[in-house]
Parts: sequence; structure tokens; C-alpha cells
Amino acid sequence: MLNRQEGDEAMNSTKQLDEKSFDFGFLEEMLASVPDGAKLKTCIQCGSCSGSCPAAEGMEVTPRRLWRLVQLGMEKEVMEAQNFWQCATCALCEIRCPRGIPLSQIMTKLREYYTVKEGPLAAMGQIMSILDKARNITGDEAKNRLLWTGNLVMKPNESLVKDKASVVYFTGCVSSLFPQVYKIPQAMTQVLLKAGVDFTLLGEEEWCCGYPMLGAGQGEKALAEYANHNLKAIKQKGAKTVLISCPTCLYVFEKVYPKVLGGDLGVKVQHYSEYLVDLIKNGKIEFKTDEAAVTYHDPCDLGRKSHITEEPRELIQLLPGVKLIEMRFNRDQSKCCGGGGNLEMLNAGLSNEIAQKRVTEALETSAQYFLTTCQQCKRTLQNAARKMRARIKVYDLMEFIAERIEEPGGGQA
Amino acid sequence: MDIMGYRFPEELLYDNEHGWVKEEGGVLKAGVTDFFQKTAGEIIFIEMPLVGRTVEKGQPYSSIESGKWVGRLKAPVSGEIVEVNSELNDFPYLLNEGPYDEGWIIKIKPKDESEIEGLFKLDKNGQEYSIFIEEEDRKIKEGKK
Repeated sequence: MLNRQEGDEAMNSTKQLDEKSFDFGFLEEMLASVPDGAKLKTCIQCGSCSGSCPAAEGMEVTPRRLWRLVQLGMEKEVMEAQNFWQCATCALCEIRCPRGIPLSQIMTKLREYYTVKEGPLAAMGQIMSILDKARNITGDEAKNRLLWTGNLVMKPNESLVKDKASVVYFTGCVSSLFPQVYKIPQAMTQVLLKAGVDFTLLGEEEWCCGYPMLGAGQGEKALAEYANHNLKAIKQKGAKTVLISCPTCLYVFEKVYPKVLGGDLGVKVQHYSEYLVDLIKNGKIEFKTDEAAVTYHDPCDLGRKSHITEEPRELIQLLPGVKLIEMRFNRDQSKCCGGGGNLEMLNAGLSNEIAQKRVTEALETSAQYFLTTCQQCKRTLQNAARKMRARIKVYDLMEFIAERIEEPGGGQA
Repeated sequence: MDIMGYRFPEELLYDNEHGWVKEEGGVLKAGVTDFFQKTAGEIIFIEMPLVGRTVEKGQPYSSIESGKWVGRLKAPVSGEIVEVNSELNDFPYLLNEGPYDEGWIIKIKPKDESEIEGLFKLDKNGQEYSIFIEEEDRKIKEGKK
């Protein structure tokens, strides 16, 4: 791996390099790989990307240096740098880049390029093998996707897995299989039952959305099998709407599946924060007044990548007695929780350091609750808060909402 | 009894899912072994099952998460859960600090007493249990489990 000094030498001491060091075919391949990729040629080395990158401190070659190496077509040095594996794919660099270069997308393409040239990174090979075998990220048997329902108290006429329903709640691997966040799907089903929504889970038929394949450098086409399976299962239910609590699944459904399936999905895909506003406004759910000061963390895949920033805030403001205090960095400028881009699998220490910084920003608000709308953000932020002994309660907004329902009916978590 | 540095009290019974049980007034108190907690690392969350649920031997009754791992707790015998250690909701690390005492997890009213006979008793088949633990340890170190 190239360290910073070597990176400087590689760029500054061009006299030591011969023409073989510069492979502009590599550069052109990278630029052609994503829409607007050619803008990379306009990079002015301002360093906004490195200054924005939550993982830069853990990289031996900063993002700015990496882009210069790519501009120069220095394939060998780029592959040795390997810092694209440290990227949390939060895309803050992309938002802040004054040239509008799709940096985060090129980072993902570099993972693909590396994988083709060098083979899968060991940890990534492991997750791909698990996915291939179990179709989920933990290697669990399919029936374990419903373990989180074990503690729900249902009325005799209520059912979570039905043959037909107008809405499918796509639970996602993390919420289905990681007990630290079971409360999110438990709260979701409680609210949907209370509101009388005709919904179903896919249960054992649900597969991973396929995102870890993208993070592992396998490219979008690798998701086709997952997209086909999940869409078929959803359509067999007769559903018109897919409701999602995981922003990464949402991103994959909205941005990747249409590309790999070659067109419109034929179902409406919504994050719960979009879906619930109308239910509440229509009086389907009522809340008790409960004074609380909260702050809100925008998940990268929901805010920056899916442009859903106001709906969660509107939901918070619909809760009587709840006061929202914004963090310094919010909406599309939100800092990353450290849990994206498979970073937790690849470098758990760095992931936790990034999360601790975000918790520190939340503590500055003096809020009692640190809300988010993503199970992975909740896990990483809660674990960081625990490590810091921080006196702030980390909740997914869905749990926070369910705790405030006036008269809980239906299934209770 | 000590097996490869892991502690296994001799008065308890063990299953092959790294659980232990102890007969206590007609019910079985159950938890996980020292081997389990050391292998899992610091436990950060346990989803405690509801009292009154019935469980089947070898089937998951709860999920558990450590900083580096997520997994299922499997019932050592079939029966009804009659009590849970609610302290673990707030202090999951008790499972690391005292897997055989403060870190107990559930109490089960067994459905079939004969299932208890199938558990490891260290004074009877301790050698067999040692071999099992050594094999499990080897699989984990080789990344096969």
C-alpha cells in the first residue's frame, strides 16, 4: 500500500517515472464508467474531498491524492493505494466537490476495477460466499428472517405474512437478523396494524437487496438475480407499494434495480418516512403528548442519495411535545455514521471512530434523543455512544413514533 | 472443569449448542457457556423472549449480538419459558461477566424429561464433551464456524 510520502513522491518526482507509468487507457476507462465521469479531468486538487471525507484520517493516501493518481493514469499506484476500500460511500465529497465530479460513484467503480484485476478482497469474498449460499448477510436459514416477530403480541385476526396485500414491507437483512435493531420492524408492524394498513412481509421469500455485492466491487449486474427474485416475490403478493425502512435497500430498489432490470419496477417504492406522513395527517394514528428534545441524523442513503430530508423532520414535528434541535451538519451536509459501504466489515475500528465523531456532534445539541431513520446508522451510532458512555438515547424514528402512539392497538413490541 | 482455558462447572448439564442448564425446583435454568461468551466477545444486545412462549429443543429462542458477531440462542430442551433474566435487557454484559450466575438467560418448564438425559454430564461423559469443545475451537480458529 502506498503511504502519503510515497504518494507525494509519485506525483512530484515525475522525472523518476517513465511513460509506462502513465496509462491513459485506465483513466479513460474510469471516466467512461459513470455518468459525468469525464468531469474528473477538471479536478483542481482543491482538497474539498479529503476535507469532507469521514474516513480520510484512516487512509494512507488521501482522496485528493487518489484523484490525481487517477488523472495521471497511474493504475499501479491507484490499485496499491486501496483507499477506495475505506470509503463509506457517504457521498459528502460528491456534494461538496466544486466541479461536480461524481467522486463516490468513481470510488465504487475503483472497487470493481480492483476486483477484476486483483480478485475479491478477502473479507469481501467471504460476504459474497455467504450471500450466495443464504441470500442474506449473516448466513442464517431463511426462516430466521422472522425471528424478530417472535416477541410480537398479535390479535387472532392479524397476520404478518399473507398471500396477498396491497403493501409489502421489505424488512431488509439488518433489521431482520440483528437483534439490536429488531425494534424497528417491530415498531413498523405495530404502527401499520394500528393504522389498519393491508400489508404483508415477504418472510422467508425475502432476499438481501444485493447492496453488499456492490460494496464488494461486483458491479450492478451482479444484483440482477436479487432484483428479479425480490420483484417477483413482491408482485406475487399483488402489492402496489413496497414500504422500506432501510435507506440502502431503498437506494438499491430506486436507483439500481431499474437499471439492472431495464425499466420501471411497476410498483411504488417508499421509505416509511414518506409513507407515514399521510397516515398521520389523515388521523389514522394519534399520539400522546410527551415532552422531549431530539436531534436528527440524516442517513447518507436517504438524505444525500435519495433526497429525503424533509419528510422525517415533518414526522418529528407531528409528534406533540417533541422539539427538534438540528445538528451543525444536517440534510445533504450530514456527516456519515461510519456504517456504509461495507466499512464496518472491512475496518470496524475506523467505522466506530467516524460514528463517535457524529455522536459528539449530536451531544453539542443537548438533545435527549438522537434519532435517525436507518437501522445501520442506529447500530453504529448506538455502539459509539455506548463506547463513549454518552448520555444520549439513540433511536430509529420508527421506534420513537411507536412509543408515542396514544392507544397502542394490534401487535405490540 | 477446565477445557482449553474455558471454565465448565461440573454441577451443570451442557448441550451441543454451547448452552448449559441447571435443574432448579422443577424448572431448568439455562444460559450459555464460558466458551460461548469468550468466542462471541462483548455482548451488546440480547432480545429476551416473552414469558409463556414455547420452544423446541435445538430451535432458536432468542437472538444475540456482540460487537463482532450476531447469532441465535437455541433451546437446550423443549418446553415453556416461565421466566427470563430481565437484567440482561439493560446489562447484557452480565453474560460476559458471569455466564453461569448473573448471566443466566431463561427458565424453562421442560416438556419431555427424557431430553434432559441427552445432555452432557461432565462426571459421566466429560471426555466426550472435551473433544466436542476442542473440535469447536478448532473450527472457529480455521474460520469454518
